[in-house]
Amino acid sequence: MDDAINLFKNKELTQKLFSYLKERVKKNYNLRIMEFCGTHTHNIFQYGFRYAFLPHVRFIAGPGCPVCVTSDIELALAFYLLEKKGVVIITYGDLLKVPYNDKSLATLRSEGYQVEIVYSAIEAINVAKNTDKECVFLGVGFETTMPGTAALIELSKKENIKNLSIVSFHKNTKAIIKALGNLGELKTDGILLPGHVSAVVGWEYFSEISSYSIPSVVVGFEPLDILLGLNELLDMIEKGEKGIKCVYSRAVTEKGNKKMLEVINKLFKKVDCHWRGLGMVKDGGFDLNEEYDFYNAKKRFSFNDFLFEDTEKHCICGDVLIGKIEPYECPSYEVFCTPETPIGPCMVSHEGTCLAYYKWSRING
Amino acid sequence: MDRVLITVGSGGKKSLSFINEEILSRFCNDKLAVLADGAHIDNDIIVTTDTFTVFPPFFDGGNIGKLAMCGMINDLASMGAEPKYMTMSLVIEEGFSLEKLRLILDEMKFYCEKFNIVLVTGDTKVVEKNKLEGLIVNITGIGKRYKNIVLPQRFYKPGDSLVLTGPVGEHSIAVLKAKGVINFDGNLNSDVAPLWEPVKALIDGGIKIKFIRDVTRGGVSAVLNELAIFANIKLEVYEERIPVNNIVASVCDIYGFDIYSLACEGRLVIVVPEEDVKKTLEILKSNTLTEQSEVIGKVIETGKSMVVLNTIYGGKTILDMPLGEILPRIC
Amino acid sequence: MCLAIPMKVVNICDDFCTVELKGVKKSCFIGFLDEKPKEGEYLLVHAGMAIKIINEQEAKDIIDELALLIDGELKNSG
Repeated sequence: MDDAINLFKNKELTQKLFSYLKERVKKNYNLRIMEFCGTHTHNIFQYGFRYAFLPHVRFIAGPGCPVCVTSDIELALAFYLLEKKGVVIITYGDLLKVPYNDKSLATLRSEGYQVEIVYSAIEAINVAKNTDKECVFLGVGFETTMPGTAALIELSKKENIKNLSIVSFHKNTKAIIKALGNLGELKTDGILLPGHVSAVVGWEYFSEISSYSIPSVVVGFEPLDILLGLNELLDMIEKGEKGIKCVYSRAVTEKGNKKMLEVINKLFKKVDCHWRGLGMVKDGGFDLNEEYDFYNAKKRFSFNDFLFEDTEKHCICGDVLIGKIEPYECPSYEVFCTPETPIGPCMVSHEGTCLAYYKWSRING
Repeated sequence: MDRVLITVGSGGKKSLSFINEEILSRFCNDKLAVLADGAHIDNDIIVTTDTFTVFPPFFDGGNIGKLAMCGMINDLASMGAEPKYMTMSLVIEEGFSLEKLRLILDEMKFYCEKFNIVLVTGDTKVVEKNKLEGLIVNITGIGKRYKNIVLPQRFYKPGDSLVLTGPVGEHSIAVLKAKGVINFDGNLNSDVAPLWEPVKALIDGGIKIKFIRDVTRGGVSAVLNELAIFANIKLEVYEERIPVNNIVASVCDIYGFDIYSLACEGRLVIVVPEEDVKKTLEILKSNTLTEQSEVIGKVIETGKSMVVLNTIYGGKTILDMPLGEILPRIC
Repeated sequence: MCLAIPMKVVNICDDFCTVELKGVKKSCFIGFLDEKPKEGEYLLVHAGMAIKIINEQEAKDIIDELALLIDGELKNSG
């Protein structure tokens, strides 16, 4: 028998809970459940759950896809550093194909600019050590990924690496939930909250959600985790409970990882920032604190001739991200915006709602 | 976009688009349009060509020489052809180690001798240092159609079964490790292998084979989608029947790779009528290179092209044509 | 937005440790965990960073609760 930890992807247990839930949802449910996190969107498709509960329960993909919400100005900045400052860009694979103005890091790489893909932020140190050129690491992701960027900076300091800096594109999940809630935009009967952000920050981080009267559950990513999350939400909805529950207790506590929160607060400050399709979000992002200016590419390089053309008006990814519309309701979807010719990150990111919809909606066709 | 992107060579949607837009548009003829692994040019002569660019040229389980020979043998096998002759072009970076080159050539010689393949002509070029990484090998294989078999066939019916001859993704992982894109401690060899003998055994056994394709770039997703598009059929695949090595599964979990898009170099997808499945498996399992063969799915419908995956948890999803480069991800 | 998986601690060296998943070993950074992990414990690993020590008892408790739920349902429907 597997360790209990490995049982969350156990086939038999998952099949049993799946069958149970497929019956349970038939009892007068007509629900929209939002999974906040893009990795949940991806996994719900991958496990074959997405359409399994229709028409009683419908999964709506939420805004928690840091690649999807990376704004044009952020991409423009990365391209500028690559093209005009001659740096080596170091990035996670997720950002390689995100387009802006008909370019992406992938196309720039094909033109001869140096783009290195890493699995872990710390690997950027080895890239920097192997070149005399200036290297810039793109810190993308939510609070889960910030400790990685922080570790990179601390280790660079320790090893006295001079030719490495970072750009923070990190986004604040709490801020977006607050902003959406304030707008009354969250059109959903229940929310599956991001389990790995919560592992770092604690589930109490999201407690503001209670004020929006939407039951929410912090959920892990294995198939059993997702179904347990759905089951818990159905319990809460039946009992009229609001607030937050956590079914990912093996990884998530109320207060989270204290040391990581300290590190995040030490290195980063909240800043207003643009989320693609959602506009300017107060405290929506993070940048490095002043004492880390040396490692901040925005301070190390000058941007005097940085020009930015706002193309986002053509893209309504934002409405898709918050569940306001389905991908097929976007006028560009499948017409101009396809996986081969994506306009916005919702189509380019592997967990993007529009790409997922494009690929897997045909299951019913 | 006026540049050739790396995804064009990765197998999958971008490769297919490129072939349609740039190659078929200029050179279309009924032989080329089949887009099979080889072409039937005259009587029983089948010809195939392939260029191998893997870098570094050595990886766990093999090298570029073994890859080139097995790639050619498997392409001919997919057409039901026994390898007979070959040509070889080498393009070598100035300064490449002669010792390494000899190892590669000796490997190729081994397979020529094993399969009685005669190298009839070739070419060697050396380019300046740093204009190329290592070396590139092009092989054109010429084979003889075996016992009048015609592959691939165009007509399928519901119930026709999909057989996969072994675990997926091992070659991809071995090469990514050799490149340093991924790193881990663990033993995993490329699955690169020559598969003419099991194919010959199937033909000798009277199996009414409809389709054979070796699973290369783009993985089993690409092959199944190519079949679905070529034959305009709907396939149903059972995830729990797809053999996967534990190490490959773990690496995919860690790096976020899609296991069904990973390249193999010693695996075949074979379509046989339902009534031939039992004998097909008996024959394949008696050869060490195909002993882990499994029936992984079947043709469900004709008239629409789609590949549906029945997940191990009892749900359904689509196995789509892979979009391009295999990249580690954090999301 | 967070691909992270449980991996078992094999050995520890300062701020790094070797973790293992079914035959695959990798290095991971543990410098920001609240406690030092022990060999044999599971870490939640995201992009080469350990973000949490997984609580095995909590895992067992959830599985036990689930088993009760499923068995209960089987009895009710059977």
